[in-house]
Amino acid sequence: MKLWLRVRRSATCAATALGVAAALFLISNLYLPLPNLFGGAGLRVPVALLLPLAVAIVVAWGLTTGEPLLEAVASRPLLAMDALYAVSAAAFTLLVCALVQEMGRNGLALAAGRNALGYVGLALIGRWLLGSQAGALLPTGLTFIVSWVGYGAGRHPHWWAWQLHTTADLISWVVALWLLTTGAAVSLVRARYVDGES
Amino acid sequence: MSLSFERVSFRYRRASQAVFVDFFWKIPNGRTVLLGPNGAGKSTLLALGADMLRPDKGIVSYRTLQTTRRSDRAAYRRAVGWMPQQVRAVPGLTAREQVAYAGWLKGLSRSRSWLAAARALDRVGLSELAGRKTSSLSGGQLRRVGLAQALVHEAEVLLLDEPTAGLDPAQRARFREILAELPDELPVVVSTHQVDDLSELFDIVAVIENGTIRFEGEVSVFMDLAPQGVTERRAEAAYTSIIPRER
Amino acid sequence: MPLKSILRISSAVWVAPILIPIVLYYASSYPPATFEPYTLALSAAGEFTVAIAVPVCAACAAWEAGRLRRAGWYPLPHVRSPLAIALSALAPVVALGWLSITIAVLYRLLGAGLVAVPDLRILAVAFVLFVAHSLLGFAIGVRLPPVVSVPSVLVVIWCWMALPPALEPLWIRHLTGDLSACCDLSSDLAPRAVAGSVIVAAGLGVSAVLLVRQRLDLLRFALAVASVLVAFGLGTRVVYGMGPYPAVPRSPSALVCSSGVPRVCIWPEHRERLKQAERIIGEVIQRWRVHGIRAPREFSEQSPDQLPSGTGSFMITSESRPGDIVDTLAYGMLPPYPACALADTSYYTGQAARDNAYAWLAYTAGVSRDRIASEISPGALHTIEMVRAMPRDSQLAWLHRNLAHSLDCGAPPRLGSGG
Repeated sequence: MKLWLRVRRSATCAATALGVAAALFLISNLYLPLPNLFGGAGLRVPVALLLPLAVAIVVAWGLTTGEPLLEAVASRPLLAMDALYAVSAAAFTLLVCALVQEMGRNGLALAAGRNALGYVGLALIGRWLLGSQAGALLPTGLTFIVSWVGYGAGRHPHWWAWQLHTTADLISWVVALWLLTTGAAVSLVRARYVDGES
Repeated sequence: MSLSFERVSFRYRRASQAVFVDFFWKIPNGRTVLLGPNGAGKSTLLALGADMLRPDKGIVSYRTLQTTRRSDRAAYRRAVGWMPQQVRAVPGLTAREQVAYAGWLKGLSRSRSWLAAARALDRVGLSELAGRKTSSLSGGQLRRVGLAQALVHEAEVLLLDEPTAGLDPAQRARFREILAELPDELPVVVSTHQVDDLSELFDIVAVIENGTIRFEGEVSVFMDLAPQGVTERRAEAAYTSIIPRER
Repeated sequence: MPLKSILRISSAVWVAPILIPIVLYYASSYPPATFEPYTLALSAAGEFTVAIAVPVCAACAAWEAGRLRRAGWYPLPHVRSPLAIALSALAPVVALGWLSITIAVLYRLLGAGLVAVPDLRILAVAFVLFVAHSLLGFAIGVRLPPVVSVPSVLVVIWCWMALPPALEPLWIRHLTGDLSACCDLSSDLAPRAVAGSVIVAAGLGVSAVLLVRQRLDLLRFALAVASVLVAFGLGTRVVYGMGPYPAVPRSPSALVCSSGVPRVCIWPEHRERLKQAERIIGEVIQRWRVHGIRAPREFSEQSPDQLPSGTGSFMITSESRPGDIVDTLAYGMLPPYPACALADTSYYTGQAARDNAYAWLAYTAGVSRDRIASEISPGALHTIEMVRAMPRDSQLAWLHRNLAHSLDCGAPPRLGSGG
């Protein structure tokens, strides 16, 4: 178990989650300014909502760092363990983000935690769809595109741009949780062939 | 009951031709060498036997355990040890840690896998390098780590895919010693292109071509296939009598 | 590798059908600094999409490096240098990025009805950005597995391209190569902004070239870090103190001037309206002369703060009607606002006098009453209607009094309990 956690880079993952929390603690008001092509004032994408992408990247990386052939013939339920590991990493990030929010240091910390759930879920779906090396490309690529097209008139994010909403938006929580659940579920499906690179 | 393939069909996705169609083979007890030309299906067969690949049709089983039955899978995998053609280093782990990790993956407890890793490394002659990072080992040393990974959980069947490929003569000799030290009752299948010293190392020869076992028999019977009058490189001559050179 | 093979396997080919439409959509929607058919402004507006295309191309470069890394080819003892290998893998990626920007710029120009060569400085900066960031993506891609390098490069370079405009001091934004805020007709691309962004990009590129070496030692790594730091230092030195726009006043040598009196100079983009402007200005001067106003003998479309002394200013656009030109002539006769009017804590008291003078000048130049009421103020119209009943000299004295008062600054507000 200890070796497996080491192979999965669990310490790096925990450090990344704590780093995200520390960054949220320090930068409460940093935005990416983007032009609003639908008129009105320019858009401001909070950097806080992008930070949890780091956790999704480290989780996706950790899932590639083992010996894929060896793991493919393991007697232990490694697929389920990997899914549980990814969900735990997302939940841990949510927890530390919630603590930052509770401290009153960053009003978007909880939303960042919610995004960690969705981003990790997307990374797992990305692994399943695109292969283990391209897993984290799905959350980052989608967020990149959504930040450009996800806002409607009046600086309000569209309902489907779940990662740009504040915590008050219930749909964003439902979508993030659904992505994580779907990601965990597809992780249980064994790949027909194994690829991988550490 | 040994490891067996019953009416197994398998085709790689995007491949136009199936590797196996209604393939049947029961791995004999003792040490078997699996010979065949490139692309004959040797590695695929061993990967199917290791439950690395799953057949499109048919059954791969060991005793009463079948890879297609979810409830049997863990026990089946515990029973089979497999050394793939390509052994990779897990970044950050030492040789002993990597072998212990392999043992843990096969269901051994943490403490047992740690002890078993030391034993397995000792068997393959790598005790001195147990503390070295696998990423810093040479190709030959890494292959021995791969063999230790296959041995660590005391498998009941051993499938070794080209274990001596890329090894120098000294390392190949060391491998032969390791193989000779394995218990006689342990079924071992070794796929290889090397046909030297067959009689010293193996009991059975199987020759596979185009997804079909073309020959299976004792080493002496295999050697007798060599044309009369041939005294040197008889194994090679026997092999080419089954798989002609121009193929 | 044959070009056909490179095109078949390169990630750039797969990304192109997604990237180019997005870039075109954004390029067509982003408002340029001026709606006049100014090649520079339209090229700069098209270049706005580097903030999208550069991170995507850098991520593609990381993927290409990951492909070589996975194949185990990169560390082999090749005859060609690592840089040559990198550039051959990156050629389609850089081509995609630069092509997408060029297409976006051409689309902007053609959309504005302008068949012209894009501003080459803009395209050159874009090219440098694509080469430097793609090399950087490649250098990261050969060191880290694609699962880490590709998304990290995408996000980090995106933040680097997009974040500086949100930061203070304002000159930081000129280090990224985003020139989209350039330029209205009176301004030209600031060489300092070009130099600053090229220096930083070159520093990143040099650092990447050092990092793509097969064997990375501490010295090379230190040199790579140093080249980035030096580039940022030099770039900062170049752009330090600049405002929000990457613009400098346009050279007056570009003006197209009439030969008659008054001499009228306009920017070449308005060349076809020179005769009309000359006629309107002549008529207005004539009207003012009747009222005792001595107008300058030369009028120019240059920005008022760049005008040589004794030259009057006016504004003209492709859409201007004659009344608009007359209005801007009257406005151009007003003195510049005093410093107190431009300060944040305004205590400017001369606005009413300024409105009065502006309204009188506009009225006598021929601007309609309705326009004065709507554009300046109904009160100013009412005032000048009374003034117009006065003798000519009294009107002139009233005008000069108002022009003088338009520079009045009142006492600054006294804050605090002592007040």
